[in-house]
Amino acid sequence: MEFISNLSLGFSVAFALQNIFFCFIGVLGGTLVGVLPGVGPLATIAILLPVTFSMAPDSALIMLAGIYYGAQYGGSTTAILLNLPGEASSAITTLDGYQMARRGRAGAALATAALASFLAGTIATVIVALFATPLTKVAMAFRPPSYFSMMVLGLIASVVLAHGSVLKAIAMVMLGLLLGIIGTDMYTGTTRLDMGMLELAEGVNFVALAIGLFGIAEILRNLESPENRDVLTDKVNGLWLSLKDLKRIVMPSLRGTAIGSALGILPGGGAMLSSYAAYIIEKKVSRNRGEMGNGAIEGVAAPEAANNAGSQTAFIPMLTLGLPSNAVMALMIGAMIIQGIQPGPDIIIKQPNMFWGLIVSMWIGNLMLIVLNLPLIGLWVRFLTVPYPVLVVAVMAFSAVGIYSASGTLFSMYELGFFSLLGYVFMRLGCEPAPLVLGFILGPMMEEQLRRSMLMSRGDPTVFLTEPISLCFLIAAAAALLLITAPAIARRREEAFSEE
Amino acid sequence: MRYLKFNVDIASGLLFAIFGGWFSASSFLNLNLGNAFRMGPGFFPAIVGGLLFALGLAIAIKGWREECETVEPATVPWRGVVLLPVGLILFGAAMRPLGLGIALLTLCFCSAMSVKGMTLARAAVLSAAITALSIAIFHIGLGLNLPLVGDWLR
Repeated sequence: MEFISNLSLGFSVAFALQNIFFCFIGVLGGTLVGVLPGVGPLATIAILLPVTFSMAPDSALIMLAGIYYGAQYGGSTTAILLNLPGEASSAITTLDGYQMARRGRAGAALATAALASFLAGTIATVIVALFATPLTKVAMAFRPPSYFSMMVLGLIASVVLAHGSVLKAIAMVMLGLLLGIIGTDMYTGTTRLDMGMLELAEGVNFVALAIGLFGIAEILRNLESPENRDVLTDKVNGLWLSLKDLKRIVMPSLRGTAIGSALGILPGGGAMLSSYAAYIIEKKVSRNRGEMGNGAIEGVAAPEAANNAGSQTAFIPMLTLGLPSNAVMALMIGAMIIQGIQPGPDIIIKQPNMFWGLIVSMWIGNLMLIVLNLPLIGLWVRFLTVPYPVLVVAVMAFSAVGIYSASGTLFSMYELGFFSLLGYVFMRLGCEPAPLVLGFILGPMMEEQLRRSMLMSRGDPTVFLTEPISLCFLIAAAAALLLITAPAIARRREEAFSEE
Repeated sequence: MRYLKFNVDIASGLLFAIFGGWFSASSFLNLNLGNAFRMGPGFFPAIVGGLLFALGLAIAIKGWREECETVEPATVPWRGVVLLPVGLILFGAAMRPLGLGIALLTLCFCSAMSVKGMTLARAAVLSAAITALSIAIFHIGLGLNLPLVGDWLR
């Protein structure tokens, strides 16, 4: 049984003492960040990237992954207790979760979120493990034109499924592609597009770009209107669910897991879309649908299971194809590249320890979340009272030290400052930064596959249409674009996202 | 200035067009384009830059023809926009000559002062506290190899 031996390899890696430790640190840090307002998981992963440079690749990715799902967990905590989603993916949990809390059932809501997430995490881990090997084999058969078209499809799909203006998102992707190829050209060795700055010969500093766009730009936005939030630090009790409640959450959790697992694999899908879809479907099929919106336990279980499953299956395209389906996965790929690991289908063969260790660590991390964090909720809620200026200063200090320790140059600070301001300008102009980061990661890979395809076809661009797999990808990409521009669907899409 | 408003689509479209135009033009002017068979270093950026230029103009024209969201410059947190980048650059510049301690203090102070309604005294206390925390985490905890005291002060 290949599956069993792979998982047991994963267990042996993930249970190594230092990996358990880093997983724990990641989960803990992620939860903290998920609770803190104004510092998202993207900013945290970006800020902690430099710290992972000196670690082994498996430990580094295990910790970064821990931050990701830890943050999701923390996000649901604030959604339930304060009606404030810590992360976009838990926005829908506020509907029923906060209602439950107002009726004195905060403990039950938190326990439901945790149990549903754990169930979803367990199933999603098995799904990732099952799908990874066959998908890798398929991807290995791809030739350069198919690879190129797959990246086109991935980028288009992530734009279509994200919210905001599609045109602007495509423009952001293109800008990312261009920024990504600044520096030395791999084929000819010429430095290009560096504006005469020698420091750019090795390309734009990815960490500075990520922290600037996600971390500091967000701070600038929050400085516009310092918000004063009322913190209800009521005591949370009754963290145990009754048998009746347990029975009520099983089916919604399973449905949420199924929806989340399916949507998580799609580029741009991931956690946020999953939780919305799961809630909407639950509202249609649940036996207690009448209560939904007024504190139904199903309304917490389904989206929480879905966002956890979705965030985990999002690793499938990232690990098997080297295709980031959202900005968090782009940061993961960035971390791999910095570790000297080339993303793509062969990491499962070249880095089996990292691959299976990461998958199993996700399950362990979920277990840690439930065992360690549920009793600590009182502590996490107290972090909400951290005054915003403290957060601003701490984020600035940690970002600067992290980047400087990795690069050791004043130039990296110029880059950080530049991308902070650029990120703020784009945010104000209604352009999401996530597509730019996807483009930045994919830029060099796309150019390389394009060049290889053209060498293969002796300069004939129709190769993208004559290769069957490539043609399928391009048709799918065109269909996605057509769908989104069709007026009826564009309107529905706007409605769906305006509910946030 | 206070009453000036920007149409976000026109502004972002023009910004994209400037970026795209620059990438495309400098690829055409300074780089070997090659041909479709053997693409040179300038081929990909010339094409993508050109597409971005066109898309940017399209976004701007769309914004000009339709009513859309506007941004008032008055809401921009100018203190933060100036102080955060300045703090970062001072941090980088101070690191070698003055060391991690002073560099961090400078950056923290700039960051603290970017928050509206911050007083000098509170900013100083906050900076000292976060500097101490950062040194504890990064220098002592993680053992990062950044000198606490710089070359000039030794």
